[in-house]
Amino acid sequence: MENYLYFRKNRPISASVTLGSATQTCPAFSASDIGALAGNDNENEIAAISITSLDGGGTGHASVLFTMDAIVPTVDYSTTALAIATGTTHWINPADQSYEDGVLVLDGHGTSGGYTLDTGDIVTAYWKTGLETACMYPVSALKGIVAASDISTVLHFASILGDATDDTITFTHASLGFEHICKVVNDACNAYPRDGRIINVYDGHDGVISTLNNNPATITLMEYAPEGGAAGMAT
Amino acid sequence: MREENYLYFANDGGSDTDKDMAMFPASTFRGAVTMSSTTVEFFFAPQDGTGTTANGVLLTHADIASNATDGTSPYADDKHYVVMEKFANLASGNRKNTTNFTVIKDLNTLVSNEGAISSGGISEVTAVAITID
Repeated sequence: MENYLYFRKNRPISASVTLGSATQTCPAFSASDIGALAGNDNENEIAAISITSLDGGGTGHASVLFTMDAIVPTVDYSTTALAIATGTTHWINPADQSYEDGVLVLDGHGTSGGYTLDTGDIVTAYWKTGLETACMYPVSALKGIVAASDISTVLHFASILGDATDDTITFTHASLGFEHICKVVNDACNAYPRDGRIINVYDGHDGVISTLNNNPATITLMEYAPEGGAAGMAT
Repeated sequence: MREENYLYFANDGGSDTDKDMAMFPASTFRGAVTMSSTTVEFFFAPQDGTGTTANGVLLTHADIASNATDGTSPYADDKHYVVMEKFANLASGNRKNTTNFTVIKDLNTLVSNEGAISSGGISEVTAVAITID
């Protein structure tokens, strides 16, 4: 019997960017919100995208499949741009957009599900659980913990796939938080010695971070790097 | 007697096809990872002894109640956690003087008396896919 250590990145979570110019390529979301941007391209992880219009004032933007504040009327597709009132929020389907390395590129209003952005528009995406968002390891797979810097600590686990490369979980935390993390992991490993349970070591759910012992290291971000990566993990 | 717990999985086939069922010692469990909002894969040390390619059991569960027009809904549910938690409880539930034969999920659809050996297991799981290289 042993415990199982559970980790979840900061998911679900929402993040926003503000358009600095009238372009369909949004600024990159902040890595401090959604984690490392490189390789962050799983648009299936995005459950919804909303746009808050700054401009409006009769300028046409949205075309189709938009709703006003979650009311869902049946709307036929039209290439005719529709007027958007300033300050209103509209929802567009993530499946109609493209997403790569933390950057959303939206289709314009001439395309089904599109929305032509303007300067000052605020684009908000909502991420849900997805590929390698959460993981669970038996305590026996823990190989060690190492401080990468004063604000970064790496947990090494035996590879799930059995390769020589460790699976790693990297925490970003307050300065000198390493010792706290070691104590938390030790507590997680040795809790319930007669039982064996899942222990929530770090959970970034809902943007409300919870960790064992109330987050003494003030962890703000978790990165998960299984050795196989996204393509290698799937069997 | 070795106090090992043996974890049993079966898909919704008829127990007549390659990898319709599999059983792993709990000690060979390597870890579990979410693969999507509706799937979690549980990895085990390979049965062929090579140690280089993990065996996997992909368990499917309900999606979170989300749609493209409601950004609040992704915060509603944690089915993957429930599946992981129940797996942890089952995998570590071995006790002395029991068989320690643990059904994680059995979706076998054969007729009565020939079908699933247990209707128990993780109720949230709706599909089982076994990969053994």
